[in-house]
Amino acid sequence: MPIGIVSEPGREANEFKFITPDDEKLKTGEFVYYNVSLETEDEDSDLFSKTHKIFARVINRDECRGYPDSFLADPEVNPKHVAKKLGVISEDMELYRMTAKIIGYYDTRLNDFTNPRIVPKSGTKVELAPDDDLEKFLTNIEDVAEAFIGDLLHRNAGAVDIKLPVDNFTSTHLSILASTGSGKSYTCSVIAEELMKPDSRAAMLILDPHAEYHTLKEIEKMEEFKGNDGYKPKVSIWGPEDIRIRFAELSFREIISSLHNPSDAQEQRLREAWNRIQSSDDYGQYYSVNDLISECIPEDGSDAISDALTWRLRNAFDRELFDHSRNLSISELLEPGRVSILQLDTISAIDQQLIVNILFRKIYRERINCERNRDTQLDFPVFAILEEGHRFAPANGESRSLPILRTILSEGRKFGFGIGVISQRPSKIDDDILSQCKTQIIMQIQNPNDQDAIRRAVESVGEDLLSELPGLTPGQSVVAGDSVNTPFLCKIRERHTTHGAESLKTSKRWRESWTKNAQVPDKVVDADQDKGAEDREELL
Amino acid sequence: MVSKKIGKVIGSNSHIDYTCEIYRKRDKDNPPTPADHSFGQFVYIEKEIDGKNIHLIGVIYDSQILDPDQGRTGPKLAEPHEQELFHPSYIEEKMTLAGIALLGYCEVDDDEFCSNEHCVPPWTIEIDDIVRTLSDKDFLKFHEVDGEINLGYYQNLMELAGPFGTDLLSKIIDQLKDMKPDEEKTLEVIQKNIEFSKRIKGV
Repeated sequence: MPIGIVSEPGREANEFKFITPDDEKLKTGEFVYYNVSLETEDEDSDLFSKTHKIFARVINRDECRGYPDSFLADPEVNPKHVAKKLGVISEDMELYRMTAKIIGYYDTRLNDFTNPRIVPKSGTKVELAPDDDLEKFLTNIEDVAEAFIGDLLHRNAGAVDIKLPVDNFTSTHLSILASTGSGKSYTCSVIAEELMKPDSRAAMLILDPHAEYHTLKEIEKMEEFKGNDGYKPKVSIWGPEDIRIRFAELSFREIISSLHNPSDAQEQRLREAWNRIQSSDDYGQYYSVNDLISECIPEDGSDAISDALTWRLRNAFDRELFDHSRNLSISELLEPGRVSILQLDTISAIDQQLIVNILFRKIYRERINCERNRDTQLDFPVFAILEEGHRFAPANGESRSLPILRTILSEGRKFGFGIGVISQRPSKIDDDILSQCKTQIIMQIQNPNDQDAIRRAVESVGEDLLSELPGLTPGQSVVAGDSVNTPFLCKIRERHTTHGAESLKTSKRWRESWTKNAQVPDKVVDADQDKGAEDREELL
Repeated sequence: MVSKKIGKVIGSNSHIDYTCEIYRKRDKDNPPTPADHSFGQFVYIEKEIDGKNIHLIGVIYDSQILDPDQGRTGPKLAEPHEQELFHPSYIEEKMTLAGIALLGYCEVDDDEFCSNEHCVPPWTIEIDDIVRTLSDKDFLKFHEVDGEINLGYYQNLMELAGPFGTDLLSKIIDQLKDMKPDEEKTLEVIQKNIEFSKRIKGV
C-alpha cells in the first residue's frame, strides 16, 4: 500500500522528496521503494522491459502542514480538539515532506544495489520496503556463514533479521565505536557468540583490559552452540598471572620493535648479540634478557652503546611479563572453535602494548608462513578483538603496538588475520587503523571530535545516519561498510550469555559495605563482653 | 429565552449577508426589546424546502438606524406634530436595521433540531421572510456536533463581520463556555487566540 507520493526532486542528484500523511511508520533511516520500468538484458542479450523496485532511505523529515502554535497554548488541551471546534478535519491533518536518498535496485547478478540514476517523477507512488526484501538485500550472506547480530531498527522485533557475512568482517576487519555504556562490549560479545556457533567455529582471541568477557564461558554449556558432529566451543580465560612470554621466543624484529627509539648503532650491536645467542649451543630455548645484555657488552668492557642498550632492554623486558621459561604459546591460545580471553586488567598500559606487539607479530608471522606454504603453527585464519583500541593504536603514535597493527590492518586480509577494534574514543585512534576497518558498527557517540573522526574514517555512512549517532539509545547502532550493501540502523540482539560489564551499583555497594562494617565489633571490648567470657568462671 | 419574532428581511448584500428591518412598536403587539436584537443575538428564518422544515441560522453582526428627516433641507408643509397625519409613509421610514450573517442551517422535526450544518446554506432567503430569535436551547443544539461544541462557521463569520468579528466570536464563546463548562478550556484557547490576534498583533 502506498504511503506517500513523490512531490519533487531533492537537493542532491540522487535524492527526492515525497509527501506522506502518516509519520508513524516513516522515520529517518527507514527504507522505502518506488517502481521503475527499466530496459534489461536477458541471457541472450535481448532487451526487455522489467519493473524494478528502486529502494531509498529516508534521510530527513519536515512538517509541511500541522497545527498552528496558537493551538498549543494550553498543555492540557489537545490541539486536535481545538481544530475540531473550528470545523477543521483534524484526522490526518499533519502532512510531512520526507527526503529520501536513492540506493537503487537489487541486482541479483552483482548481489548488490545498482543505482539506475533515475529520479522518480512527481506523482510516483512510494511504498514501505517489505521486510523480506530488506532481510535479503541489506546484507549478502549467500554461501557464507552468517552472524545474526540483531533486527532492523524501526521495524517490529524479529521482522528483519540482520545477519552479517562472517567471512567478510573477520578478514577485512571490524570496528565497534561507541561511548561508554552504549553497548560496545555487549555487541562484541554478541559477535563472539555468533563466531563460536557451529557454522563458524572461529579461532578467536579477545584482549580484554577490563576483564568483562569472562561470562562468555557460559557458551560451553549451551545447547545452541553445540554442533551435530560433536562440536562444542571452548572458552579459555587467561588471567594476568597466566600471561607470560618466554624471552627466548622473541624474534629479533619483536625485540627491536619493543625498544624505545634505538639508534642504528644500537640496532647493529643488538643484532650481533642476538645472532651470537642464536648460534650458540649454551642458551638453547631458555635465555633471559640478562643473557642478551651480557652479549651486548664488548669483551673489553661496557661502552656508550652497550649502556644505552642495557637501559632500553631493561626498560622493555625486565618485568614479570617476560619469563625465562614460561610461555603463552599461540598454539595453546588459538584453535578453531576456541575463544581465548586475555584478561589484561592488572597489567600496565605499556605491557599491554608489548603483549599486543609481540603476540600479534607472532600470529601474523605464522599466518604469512601458512599462506606461503611454510611450516606454521596456525594453519587457520584468526580473528582478534582489541578492546580499548585507542590504547593500542593511538592517534599520537605513541604505542609499541601501533606499527604491527598498521601492518595487520592494511595487509592482514591476505593472510587471514582479522582484527576487531573497539573504542569509545574514535578521535584518539590512529586514522589509518580506523579507516582500514572495513565493517563498522557505530553506536551512540556524542563527542563532536569523535563524530568527526568517524566522518573522516567511514566514508560510506552518510550525514543523515551520522546525525542519528547522538540520539541512539544503548543497543541501537549504525551498521556500515563492506559487510553490508547499504548502511542502516540496527537494534543489537540480546546476548545468549549474561553480560559481564554492567556498571557498578555504587550506592548499593556502599550501603552493603556500611552494614557489614557496622556488624563488626570494635577492636576494644569490655572483658565481660568478649567472646567466651561466659565460660571463664567454669572450672577447668 | 423563548423564540420571538423581531423583524423581516428587506434586502441582502450577499448570499449569507442579509438586512432585517426590526419591528417597531406599532408593527405588532409584542414588539422586540433592544435585547432581542442586540449584537450577537442568534436568529433564524424558517423555510420549507422539499417538504422539510429548515431553519436557516444566523447572527446579528451589525446594526444601523435610519432617520430620513436628518439632513433633509427645504420647507415643510406641516408642523412636526402634524406630519404623522399628512405623511404617514415618511414617518415609517425611521427604522432600525440589523445585519444578519447566515452561519448554517438545521433540519427541524416536531420542533426539535434533528441535524445541523455549519456551512453556507444552499438556499436563498426572500424579502419579508420573518426573522425570529433563537432560543438558548436551540443555540446550544446548533453548536453541538457529535456532542461537542463546534464553531465550523468561524472563518466565514470573521470575514463577514470584519472589525466586529473578534468581539462577536468572543461573545458567542462566552455564552458557550457558560453552557458547556466541561469544554471551557478548549474554548478558551480559541477565544484567547482570537483576542490575541486583534488586541496584541494590532499594537
